[in-house]
Formats: sequence, structure tokens, C-alpha cells
Amino acid sequence: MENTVTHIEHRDDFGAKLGMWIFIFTEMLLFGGLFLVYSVFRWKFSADFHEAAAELNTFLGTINTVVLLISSMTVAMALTAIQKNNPKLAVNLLLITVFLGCVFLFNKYHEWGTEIRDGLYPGAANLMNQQHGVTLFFGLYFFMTGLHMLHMIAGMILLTIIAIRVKSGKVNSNKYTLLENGSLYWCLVDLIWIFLFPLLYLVT
Amino acid sequence: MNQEKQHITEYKVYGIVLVALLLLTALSIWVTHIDLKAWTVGIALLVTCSMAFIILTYFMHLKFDHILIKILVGLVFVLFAIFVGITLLEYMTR
Repeated sequence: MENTVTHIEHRDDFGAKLGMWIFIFTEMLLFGGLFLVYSVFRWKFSADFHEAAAELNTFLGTINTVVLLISSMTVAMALTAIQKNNPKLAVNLLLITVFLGCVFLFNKYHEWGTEIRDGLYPGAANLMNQQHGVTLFFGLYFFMTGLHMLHMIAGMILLTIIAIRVKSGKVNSNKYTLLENGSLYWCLVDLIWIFLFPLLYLVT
Repeated sequence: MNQEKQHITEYKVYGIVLVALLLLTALSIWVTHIDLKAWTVGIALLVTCSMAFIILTYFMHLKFDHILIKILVGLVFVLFAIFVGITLLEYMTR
């Protein structure tokens, strides 16, 4: 009697990618809702928003934008690396991406630190005493950049797990959907920041 | 469907895309520093949307993907535009 078990591998790479895109759509609508709130309050309180945005550190914001753009490139290159059967390069590129994410978080820590020290955080007496639009701006600023930051941390954890899987060979040149989807997620995080940066920092 | 005939983007292409994105970032900063009054927001958003389009097309690989995904992405943006449009219309006509 045979005791062999035939393992039928069910594999649907296109389905997996489509599923990832559908998840990305929900994320786009999530942040889209916040941008909608921003657009209404910006329309209602343009002068206050102008004044409040001047408090933000545009230099650090610009550095963060550049850092994220480079990290999107490195994660996209990691996909090319695995497709070309160069797992070592793929791992290195993934780790560079995570490192760039850490740089972003480090900058954000400084920005938020300054703003919190200046009493410009939601609930602070100083902020509540400002013009209504200024209070709204900072509420939106902390919520949107905070939510974005959570997504970044989730992305960094995901990319690290993927790097480990590439190293162990579970993700390779014949089976790289996980890396592809991880890179899509990271590029989405960058995409969101591309909209956050001008709307919060630049349009004054 | 599995991964046999997937398009592989060259590293160089990604490098060129990054340079384009960095230039557009510089442009968006410049545009918001010169006084364009009412046009500032519109132009800044235009530059931002161009950057988003480039990221979606190249970094997120949409250019080489199945047409279904391209259409769906477009539809989501249209949906969002409708949300913003109708909401602002409602506020403006109060």
C-alpha cells in the first residue's frame, strides 16, 4: 500500500496580485477619505491652514520625500533582482529600503517632537487656543502623518519578513509573488506621502 | 497563471524614473514658492498627480500589467474624484 501524499500546489499568481491591488484600493479610499476632510476644511479655513502650515518643517519634509522616492526605487529594483535570479542583491536592496524607512521615521520623530514641544498637538491647551482652522489643521496633520507612519512600520516589517524568505529560498526567481506584492505595498506608502507632502507642507 | 512570461524591468529604467521624480519634487517646491495666487494649488496638484502616475506606471509596474488592473486603478481615482466633487459641491451650495 502506498503512503505517499500528493501535494497539489494551488498557485494563482495573478489572483494574488489582483488581491493585493484590491487591498491597495481600500487603502487609497481610506486615505482618500482623510484627504476629503482636508479639502473641505482647507476650503473653509484657507487663511488658518496657510498660517498653520508655516509651522511645519518643510526641509525635513522634503528630505523625507526624497528618502521615500529612493526607497521605492530600491524596492522595485529588488523585484528585478529576484526575477534575474540574484537573491543576494534582492536581500540587500530590501534591507536598504527598510533602512531608508528608518531614516524617514527618524526625521518624523524630530518633526513631531518639535511640534509637540511647541504645544501644537491635538488636545494641547496652546493648540485649542488658536484659530479654529489652525486646530483643525494640526488635528489632520497628526492623524494623517500618524496613520501613514503606521503603514510605514507595517511595510518595514513586511519587507523584513520578505528579505528573510528570500534568504531562505522560499521566495526565488520562480516564485516571487510575495516580494512583488510587498513592493506594491511599499510603493503605495510612498504614493500616499507624495500627496501628503504638498498638501500639508507646501501649499501655503 | 504563473510567473513564466513576466516582463522584467531593467535597473536603469528605475534609475531614470527616480531622477524624473526628484526633478518633479523640486518643481513642486519651486512652484509653491513663486506667487501664482489662485493657480498655486492647481499646479502643485498637477505636478503631484504626474508623480503619482509615474510611480504607478513604473515602480508599481502598471505599464506592464494586465489591462484589468489598469482599468480598476483608474476607476478608483474616478470614484475618489466623484466623492470630492460632490462633497465640495454640497458645501459650496449651502
